[in-house]
Amino acid sequence: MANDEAVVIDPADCFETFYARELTGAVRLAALLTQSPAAAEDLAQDAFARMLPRWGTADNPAAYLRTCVVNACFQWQRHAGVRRAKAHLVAAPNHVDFVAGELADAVAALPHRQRAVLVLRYYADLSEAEIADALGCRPGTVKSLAARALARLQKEIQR
Amino acid sequence: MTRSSVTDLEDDLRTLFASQAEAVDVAVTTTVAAPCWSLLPTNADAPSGRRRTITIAAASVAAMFAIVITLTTLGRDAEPTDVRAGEQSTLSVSTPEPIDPEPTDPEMTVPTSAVPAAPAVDPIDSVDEFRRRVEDVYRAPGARALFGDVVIGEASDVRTSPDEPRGYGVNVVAANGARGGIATGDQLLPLGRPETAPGETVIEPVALPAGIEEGVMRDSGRTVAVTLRGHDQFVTLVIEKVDTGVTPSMLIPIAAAVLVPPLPAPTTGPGVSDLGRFDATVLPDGFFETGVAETADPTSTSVTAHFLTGTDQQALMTGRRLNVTTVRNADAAAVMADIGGQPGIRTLDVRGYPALIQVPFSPSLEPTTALSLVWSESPTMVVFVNGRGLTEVELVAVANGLRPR
Repeated sequence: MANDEAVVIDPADCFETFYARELTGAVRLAALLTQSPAAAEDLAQDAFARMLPRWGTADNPAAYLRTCVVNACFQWQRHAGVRRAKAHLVAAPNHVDFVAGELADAVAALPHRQRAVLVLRYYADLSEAEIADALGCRPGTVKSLAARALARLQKEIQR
Repeated sequence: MTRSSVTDLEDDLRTLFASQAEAVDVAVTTTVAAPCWSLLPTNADAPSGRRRTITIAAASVAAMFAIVITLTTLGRDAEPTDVRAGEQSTLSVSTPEPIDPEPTDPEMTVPTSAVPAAPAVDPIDSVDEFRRRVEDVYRAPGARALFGDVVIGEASDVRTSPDEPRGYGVNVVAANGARGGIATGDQLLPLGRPETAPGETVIEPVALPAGIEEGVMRDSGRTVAVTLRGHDQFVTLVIEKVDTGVTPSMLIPIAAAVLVPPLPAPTTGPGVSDLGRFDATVLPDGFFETGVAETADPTSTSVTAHFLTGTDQQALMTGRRLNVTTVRNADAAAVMADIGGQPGIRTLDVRGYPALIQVPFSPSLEPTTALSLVWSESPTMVVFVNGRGLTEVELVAVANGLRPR
């Protein structure tokens, strides 16, 4: 999913081809946004599912998918409390967590919009305008979120 | 923040994200879809108002620690009263020290309907009954994981006259020699007060076990305690913190089990291990078993799930997956009522039992929202079947094909 502007979307592409090419990137993006590899596959699947009915109508399918992933991850974050409260009712799926580390822990502790800006900038290599489009906010907000996130990380690491 | 430090941090972030992204490939191959969240209440279904969640993680605590129980108040005069029975001395928590409150989750919102209904439970009306329940609680796997093999002291009736409310206490010694105990009675403060005392935190209803109506927990720095009310009786459990990581919330299911004994394990119907006995002919083409997960909590609820997924291109594209999850010792009626009260749920029959299915669903094979089906064949067992990219016909066929061992 990173560098999607360099990917030429062939109008003749079928959804299956698009899915096969973009799935890994979508799962990775979801994992970075949520810091939960276990949930990433589901969230990416949901994003593809939301996109399918609109296939052929989006000018930039990759960007559309990215926005779907970001929105799915935000929704997942909002429901985190409910999942924890109900955790004792369901099985814990097998999953692999990210390796802990000073920076990794600090990133995981960021508010999810700040983390999303960093992931989209430093993993997906998106411009501020593209990040703003994905997050549904203004480029100025992206700048502000990025600055606050970096400052917070810097402070955490120096602590 | 200097320019160079920002640049360094940006480089570190690129490296971190790249390494995490690479790790996801491994995670994806070993992970499966979340079992049944889509059937559970969500924020969108919840009434307004923020609630705080309390994570009960007792089973993860490996260390032994001292247990000291006290009665805060058993008499009508609401004066602190030590547990008098047993050979060990007790710790008073009647004047708790201020502590940091439990971390709150501002995003937590759970409907009040999530609080399970209380099953009918006989009150504790004798010392012998009290002692028996305490023994049962400490023999349970969850308590044993926390305390090890405990020595239970002589239980006693703490009343000074027959006219006083019921009140019983017992001291307990943990396997490592630490002191402890537990107490119950008709009256125990601080419950019922309009505001909590310093160091006390009101336990949110969603964190209360079935049959418990209210509760308060305290952390005085040296001890942690929990007081619960249910079935017009109270229980207080106080623990001396000799190890880190012990929080009052860990005591909730153990203390609650004194007032409301856990439901017995089912002897019939599809069980946890029974899910290993699928009738394979009911599975849609392209599915295979990918793994099993099992968990248990201090109240003996145990869960196992089987995960099945498609292999061919079509199955991959549509993300066809199937999860089966059983919940043992759950209050099945309360779970079903909770789910049934949510929007978008309708009823049907599975294996001759009433079942709930999430709607809307895809009438044709499309990767839309996940399908979720839940039913119960015993008061203490709930079965969830979740499918993604499946039709309702396929999902119900799989559910009907589940066979008890």
